[in-house]
Amino acid sequence: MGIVYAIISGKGGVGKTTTTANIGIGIAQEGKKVVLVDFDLGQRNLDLILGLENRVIYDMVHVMDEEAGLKQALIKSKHTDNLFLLAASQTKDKSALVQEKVKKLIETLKEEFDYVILDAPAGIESGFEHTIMYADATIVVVNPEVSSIRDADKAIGIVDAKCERAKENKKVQKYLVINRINPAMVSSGEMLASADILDILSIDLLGKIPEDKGIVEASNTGKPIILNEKSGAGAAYKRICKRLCGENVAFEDVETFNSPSIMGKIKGLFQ
Amino acid sequence: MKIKQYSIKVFEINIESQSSFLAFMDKNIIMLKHYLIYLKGEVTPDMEEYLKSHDISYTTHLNLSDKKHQELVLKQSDLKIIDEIVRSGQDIKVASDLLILNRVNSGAKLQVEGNLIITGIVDGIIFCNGDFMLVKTSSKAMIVFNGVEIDGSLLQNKFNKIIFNGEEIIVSPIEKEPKWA
Repeated sequence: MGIVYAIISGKGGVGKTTTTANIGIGIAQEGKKVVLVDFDLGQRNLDLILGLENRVIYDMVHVMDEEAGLKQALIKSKHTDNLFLLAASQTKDKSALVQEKVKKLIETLKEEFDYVILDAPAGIESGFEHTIMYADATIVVVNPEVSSIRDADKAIGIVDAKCERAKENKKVQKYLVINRINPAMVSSGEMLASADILDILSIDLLGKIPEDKGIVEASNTGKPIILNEKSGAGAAYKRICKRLCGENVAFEDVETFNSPSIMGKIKGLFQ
Repeated sequence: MKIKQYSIKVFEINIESQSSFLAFMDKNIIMLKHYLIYLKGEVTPDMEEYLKSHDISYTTHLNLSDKKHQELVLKQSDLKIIDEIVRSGQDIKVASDLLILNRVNSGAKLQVEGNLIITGIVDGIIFCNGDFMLVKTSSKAMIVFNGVEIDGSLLQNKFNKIIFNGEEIIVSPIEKEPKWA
């Protein structure tokens, strides 16, 4: 039986889909069988970020309405054999989701895969509620800014109130990913520090991702940053995936700003 | 032959009417569950059914003549306690006193008719109509005490005692940080 993670944020544009894609690839590289499900109906993105946009024929609504089989709709990743995508419908909207059908779909996926990762839509509307309803745990993605934190806080509150597990009085584990940390801005006090964010949200830290210019290009070319060995953000995602697979990986400091030292500059002159 | 010995507490209840008995049981079921109930008076089938459904041990015959007893004192506290973080979007209305053992986040709202103590930091909105308040707020918080908004700069980053004596509101910071367990 697999475990179901819902990736949520409340606010849009904080890096939910990017995080979903990277975590999916990372866990698959650890040798686990992973499926990513895009719940953002009408605004399909996850296929683009994984570089699979031209391979989507059937989507999750087709599967739920039994117009296509699950095997037909699952798209295998180019990057790793263990990763599959179930795309969102681009033509239908959130009203296409029906609770019973969502439940059935997730239960089927749980039997086939070790990790079922659901990419929630932004906001806290019905699409969001369907995504968290049958999740075993949630990964909350935030940026170090107050609006993102408040929206995430609200989303966490809804998870605690509406998730099936919470209704059965079981604990819904919530993990925090702080995305787009700019060390220079944290040092100068312009950006919220991780300790303050953890204080406000009171959930467990899963990882901190430094801001990385490579992410935009990675999304545009369909090659998630985790595949880039040199990237700081990629390495941070790798550590997160190891933690999700049960490894105890120490938290690295991605917040201290290292201005290039004089020695570094001199070395640079000779290169 | 095997003999075991138990020491148990017995509650003796004089039944006056079925309705008052059931109301009493409902109110105190959590406490009474673990003890033996000695019932005096008429036990109706409805009452038997109730006791059975809650798995309560009871008896109607018991000789306690040479035992000492204590009068039962039932205390009902009017304090409501919240031991969870109060998150954005939550709107909590409490008619009694309120104790919050966690933080109150930005976007959350509390409306309290009684006294209020919050051990975490407050980023949200508070309306309190009691005589006493003990809070520590950030600059984002809004505090309205008995209809008067309290200037945030008075409260910042310290625990403050806020007292309403019927005429005026007195805000006094607590210099020494309280250590909540």
